[in-house]
Amino acid sequence: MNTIPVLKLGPILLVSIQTELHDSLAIELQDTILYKIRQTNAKAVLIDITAMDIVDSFIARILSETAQMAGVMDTQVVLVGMRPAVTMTLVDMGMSLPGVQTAIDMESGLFKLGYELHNIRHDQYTRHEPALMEQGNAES
Amino acid sequence: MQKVEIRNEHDVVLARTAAREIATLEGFSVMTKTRIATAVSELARNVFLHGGGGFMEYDAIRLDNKVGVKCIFVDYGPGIPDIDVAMLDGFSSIATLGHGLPGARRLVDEFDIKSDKGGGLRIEIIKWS
Amino acid sequence: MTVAEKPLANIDQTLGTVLDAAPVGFILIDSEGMIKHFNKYSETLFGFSKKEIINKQLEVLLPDQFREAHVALRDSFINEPWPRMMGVGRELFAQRKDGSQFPIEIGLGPVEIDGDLFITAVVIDITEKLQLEAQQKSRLEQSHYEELMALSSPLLSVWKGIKVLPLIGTLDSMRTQDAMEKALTCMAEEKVRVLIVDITGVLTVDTMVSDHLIRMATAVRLMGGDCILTGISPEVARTVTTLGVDLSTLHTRATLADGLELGIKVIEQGVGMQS
Repeated sequence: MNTIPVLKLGPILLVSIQTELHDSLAIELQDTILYKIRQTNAKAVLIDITAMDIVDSFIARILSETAQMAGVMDTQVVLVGMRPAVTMTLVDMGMSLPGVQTAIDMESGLFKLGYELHNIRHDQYTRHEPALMEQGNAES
Repeated sequence: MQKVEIRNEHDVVLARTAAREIATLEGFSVMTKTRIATAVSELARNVFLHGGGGFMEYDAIRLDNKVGVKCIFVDYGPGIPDIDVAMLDGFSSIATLGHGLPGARRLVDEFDIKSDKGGGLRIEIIKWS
Repeated sequence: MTVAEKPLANIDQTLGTVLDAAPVGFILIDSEGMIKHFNKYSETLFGFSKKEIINKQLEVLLPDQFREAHVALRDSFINEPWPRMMGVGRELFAQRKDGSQFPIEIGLGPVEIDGDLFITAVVIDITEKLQLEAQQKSRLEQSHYEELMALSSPLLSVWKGIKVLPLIGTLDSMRTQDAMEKALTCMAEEKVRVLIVDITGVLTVDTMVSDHLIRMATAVRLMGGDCILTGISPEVARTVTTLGVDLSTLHTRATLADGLELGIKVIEQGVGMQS
């Protein structure tokens, strides 16, 4: 059975989904991510879905749940690189994955979390406080 | 028509891959291909979760000068689902299938659902290119 | 001697040198509006020499059309004399000896000298400042209009990482879908971080159109970008509120320029708008 690798980069976990996700693999991935978060005390997880050409409601729900569960452990989950076709399909189905952070690529994902790539390569890192605005027009 | 047996979660992947392939062969755009493959994924999962198994028949169709893909999903009715699979987290609630069906409907052009006497479902969908 | 005839010897001797060194116009007038002191910079600003302007009315330094009204304004200032900038938010103009006019900022302050009330006026020529502002504004508007005229590509690049999608005409589901496809594809290819959707050209914004816009914003968000809705006229705002449409989840700005300003802030400061 395939296992999707979960890599550690400083305080961040990186997951890149390259294969077709059947249901139990998706659940296994969720378990692995949550386990690794606890094991490594990760501050954030970047899930790269650039290679996924289909995200159905089940996968979407698993990803959303993963973000929620990680959030309870004070770990942020960022979904990176959702494809345009996948995005439109999810929106058409009425799914919006509320509360899940997203980024257009890894670099911007890291930046949104407050990290920069050269800072976190060697377990020592500095992090600038990203100013997070609230949803809608209530910005500072 | 070609046929894919749907008995477990791996067959869901097979079904959507098959749909995607035939759409590619017929020259569907990326957007349209993704929509139909996702709809198939939802409906195939429904066959396997709700119906205790079934199959999908699919083919390319032509009408006037339109090209489309037609898929027919047949499930055998509420039977004994695969116990091992059902015991996995996320499958334990049948509420799972609630989300998929209405969503799938919005992705395709034609959607027809019938139930038979045995409690099984027959769902026909068509997506034009 | 009347106020008008009293010389201000103290001013000329003690402060004259200091005031002449200042890079702003400094004018002292008495309670009748007569100019009693005129520093060196004022001579440059207005083209009058100190000698020819002393004991003349202040209104000489104003454009003809404002002179009459200014007398009344001056009186009201005398009645409530406290230091302040004049005409904040309005454009004020002064007039040179040769009749040419220029925009100014002016601050007035009352002062008592030997028992009489005088008013100090500090005058700054803001011609350059206004020019700069106008240049910036017109540059932005110009590029906007130029590219809108071209209309060749549906998505406009106005800044690195920011695209503008002008929506024009009726917004039905097919057109929205088409626009979304183009916008999202472009976002993925060019790593666009902010998509500004401008609806200035959209004819009607009803519940259906609002729904399309919300879906577009959701899609942009899912891809990792931020969506800003601009070009919202007062009519649209009214319609939307009356219909009870909830656009509170969207980031909206009245003008494209405002939206661009916000977009740039997002890009440069890494400020995220996601919840």
